[in-house]
Amino acid sequence: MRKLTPMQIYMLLPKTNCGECGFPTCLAFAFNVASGKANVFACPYLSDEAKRKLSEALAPPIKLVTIGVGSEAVKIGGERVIHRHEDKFYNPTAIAFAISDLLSEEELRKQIAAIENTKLERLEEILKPDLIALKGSSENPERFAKAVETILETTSLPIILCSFNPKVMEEGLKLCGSKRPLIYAATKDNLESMAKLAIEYDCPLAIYEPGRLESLAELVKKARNMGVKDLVLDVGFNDLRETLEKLVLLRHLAIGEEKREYGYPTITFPSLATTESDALADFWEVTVATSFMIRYASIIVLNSIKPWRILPLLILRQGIFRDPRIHPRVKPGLYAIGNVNEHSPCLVTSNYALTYFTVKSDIEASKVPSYLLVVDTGGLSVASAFAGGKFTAEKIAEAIEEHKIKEKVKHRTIIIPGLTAKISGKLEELTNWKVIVGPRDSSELRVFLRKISTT
Amino acid sequence: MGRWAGRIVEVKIGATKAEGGSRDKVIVVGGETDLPLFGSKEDLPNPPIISMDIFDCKIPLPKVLKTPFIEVLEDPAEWAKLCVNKYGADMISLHLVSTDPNVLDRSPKEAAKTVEEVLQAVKVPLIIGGSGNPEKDPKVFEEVAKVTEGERCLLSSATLDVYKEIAAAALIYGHNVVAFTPVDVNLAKHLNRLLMNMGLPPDKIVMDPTAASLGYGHEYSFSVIERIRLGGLQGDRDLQMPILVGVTNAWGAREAWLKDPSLGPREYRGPIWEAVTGITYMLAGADILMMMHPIAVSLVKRVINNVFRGEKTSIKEVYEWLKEVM
Repeated sequence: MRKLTPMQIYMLLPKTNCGECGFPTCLAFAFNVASGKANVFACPYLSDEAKRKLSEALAPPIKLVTIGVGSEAVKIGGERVIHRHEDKFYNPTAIAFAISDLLSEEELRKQIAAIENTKLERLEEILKPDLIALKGSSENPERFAKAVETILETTSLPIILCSFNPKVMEEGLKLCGSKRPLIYAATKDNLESMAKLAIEYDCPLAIYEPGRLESLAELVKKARNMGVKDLVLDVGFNDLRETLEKLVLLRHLAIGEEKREYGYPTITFPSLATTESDALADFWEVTVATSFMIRYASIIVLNSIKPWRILPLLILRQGIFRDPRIHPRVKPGLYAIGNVNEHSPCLVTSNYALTYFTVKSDIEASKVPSYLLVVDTGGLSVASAFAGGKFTAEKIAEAIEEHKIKEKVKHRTIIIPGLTAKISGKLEELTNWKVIVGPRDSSELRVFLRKISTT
Repeated sequence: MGRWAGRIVEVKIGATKAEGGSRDKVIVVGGETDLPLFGSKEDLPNPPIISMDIFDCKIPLPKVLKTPFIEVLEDPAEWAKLCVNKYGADMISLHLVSTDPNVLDRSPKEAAKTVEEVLQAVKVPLIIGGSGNPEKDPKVFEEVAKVTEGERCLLSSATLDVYKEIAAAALIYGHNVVAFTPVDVNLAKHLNRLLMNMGLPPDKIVMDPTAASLGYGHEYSFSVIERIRLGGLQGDRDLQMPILVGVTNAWGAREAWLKDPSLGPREYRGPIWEAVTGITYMLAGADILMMMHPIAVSLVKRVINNVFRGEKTSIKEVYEWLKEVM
C-alpha cells in the first residue's frame, strides 16, 4: 500500500496533540497528511521508526531524481498519478540541448550562451531550458574532458554526459563528478563499469535498453543490487508509437501496478527523429518532443536551440505541470494602471491571469493611464469565456455597477475586446454607456489607446 | 489491456450515393475502447480525422495562415478543392460566418447555396458551421439542413442556449450534431442529455468541449478531454460520444502570429503552434481535428499515420547521433 489511511498515519504519530505542526490535534494532522494537504515531517516528534515507515509509505511510486547541484539543480520523477486531473504532475519535463565535444571551444561557448540566453517570463515564472547534454562524439577521453571544462567555465546548468564508453565517461566525471551530472548511459554491455562510476561519483545513472521492458527491468535490478540508487530509464527510440507505448506502459506499471523496478524517471531523444525532407525536420523534432512530453517523458533531449522551437515546448510544459486544482486567475475588480484620473479610459477584460497580465503590460506600454475592469469569467480567457457565454453584456453591466466605476470616472465610455464586438449593442442598451469596440488582440492597444486619448 | 467497460459510440459522417447522399465515402469516428497508446491497436478502430476549415467570407486571419489560401479566400468551392486535393483534408468544415447580422447578414438561402457549391466541388463529408449568432443560427441550420438532406453532414454547433432547432433540423433531414460546451465535463454531459431527450440518438452526436490554444487555457481543455474520454470508457453513457476539437483556435495565441523577431520567424511559429495544440488533444482522445495550416496538417498526419495506422517513422540510431557534431 502506497497510500496510507488517516488512521494508519495517526497510529505512527506521537498522539500528544502538541499543536506544533500547525493543527490542533494529531488526528486532524493525520487527515490532512492523508489528503496531501500537510507534510508529515512537519511533526517534530516522529520516532525514527515512524519516520522510516512513513517515508517508505509516502514515497512517490516514481522515484525523485536530482541532476546537478545548487540553485540550478533539476528534479525529475517524483510522480504519483497517471492523469493530471487525478492530482497533479509534480516535476516538469526537463529540456536538454545537445552539444558535441567535437565543436571548437569557441563554438561550444557560443552554443552554451545561446542556451543560457533563452529565457521567457510568463505568468510570473521564468521559463528556460534546464540541461546541457554533452555528446562524446570524439570517443576521445581528453577531448571529452576538455569540453566538460569549457562547460563548467561557461555555465552552471547541470550536465548530461553522453557516451557509451566508460573510459570517456570517467574522464568527464573526474572534472564534473561533484556536480551530479547524469551519466548516459549504461547498457547491457557496459552496465558494470558505468554503475561503478555512478557509485564512485555519487551520480544518477541512465540505463539504455531498446529491447523489451523486461530486459530493462533486469538491468535496473542489476544496477540497484550494485548499489546505484538514482536511475533514469531510456526505453530507446526506434519508432514513435513504440516508444510512446513503452513510456505509457512504464507509467502504468510504476503507478498502477506499483512495480518498483519500473518506478524511475525517463529520458527521451526527440533529436533522433528524422524526416525525408529537411523542410519538415525542424518542425518534426518539436512535434515528437510534444508527444513525449504529454506522455510522461521526464527529460527530452533536443538538437539545436532556436526560439520558435523551444517556445511552444516551454509553454506546453508550464500548462501541463500546473496544479489543475488551482486556476491561474486574478480577483475580479477595477484595476488602476498607471497614474489614472477621472478622464482615463476604461477597458474591460476577463479574469484569466494570463489575459490580465498581457492586457496590463500592453496598457503600460501605451503610456496611457487606464482603468481595467476585470470581470469574473471563472479564469477563462476572453475568447473561451465569450464562446462559452461567460463574458456577456449582462455580466459587464453588473461589474460596472458593482465596482462603482461611475465614482471614479466622469465619462461614460467603456472599451470592450474586439473579439466580443457582438455584445456592444446589448451592453449600450443595458448601461446607457457608450461602447467602443477595441482591438482583437491587446498587442494593438498601444496604438489604439494613444489614438483615442488624443481625440 | 481491455481495462474498460465502456466503448465510444461510432458516428458516421457523410453518405454515399447508395445511402442517399453524394459523397465518395463515409467517415466513421469513435469506437474506441481505450485512450490512444494505453491499449492495443484494436482499441482504436478509427484513426482521428482532419477536417480543414474554410470560411464563406473574408475574415481577419494572420498573414501566415492566409498565405497558403491567398488565391481562394473568396471562393469557398475552390478553397475546399485546394484543401482536399493538395493538402489531403479528410473532411471540410465550412463556416458560414457571413450569415451573422453583424458581419454580412447573408440570408439562409444564400448560405445554403454556398454549401451546395462546396458539396459539388469536393466529395468528402462536410462539417457545416454557423456564425455563432444565437438568433440567426437556427434559421441558417434549418435551411442548410434541408438542402443537404441525406448527406449526413455534421452541423456545428448546438449549445446550451440554442440546441432545439439544430437538433430538430438534424433529426428531420438526417444529419449529425456537434454539441459545443465551454471547457466543462458536467455541461458537456448536460447538453448531450438534452439532445438525447429530444430524440437524437448518441450515434448522431459529436462533442466539442472547447479546444483552447496552447498557452491560453490549453491545459484545461486537455484535462477536460481526458476526463470526458475516461468517463465514457468507464461506462458513462452521456460521455460516450466522439470528440471534435477546433485546433485552428491555436492561432488565437499571440505567440503564433505576433511580429517579434526575438521569438523567431512567424512562418514557423504559427504552424508549430497549431501542430502542438492538435497533437496534444489527439493523444488525449480527440477524434476530429478542425485545422487550417498545411504544415500543421502534415505534421499531425505524420503522427496519425504512425500512432494509429502503424506506419514506421524514420529514426536515427542513438550511437550514430552521438557521433554527429551538429
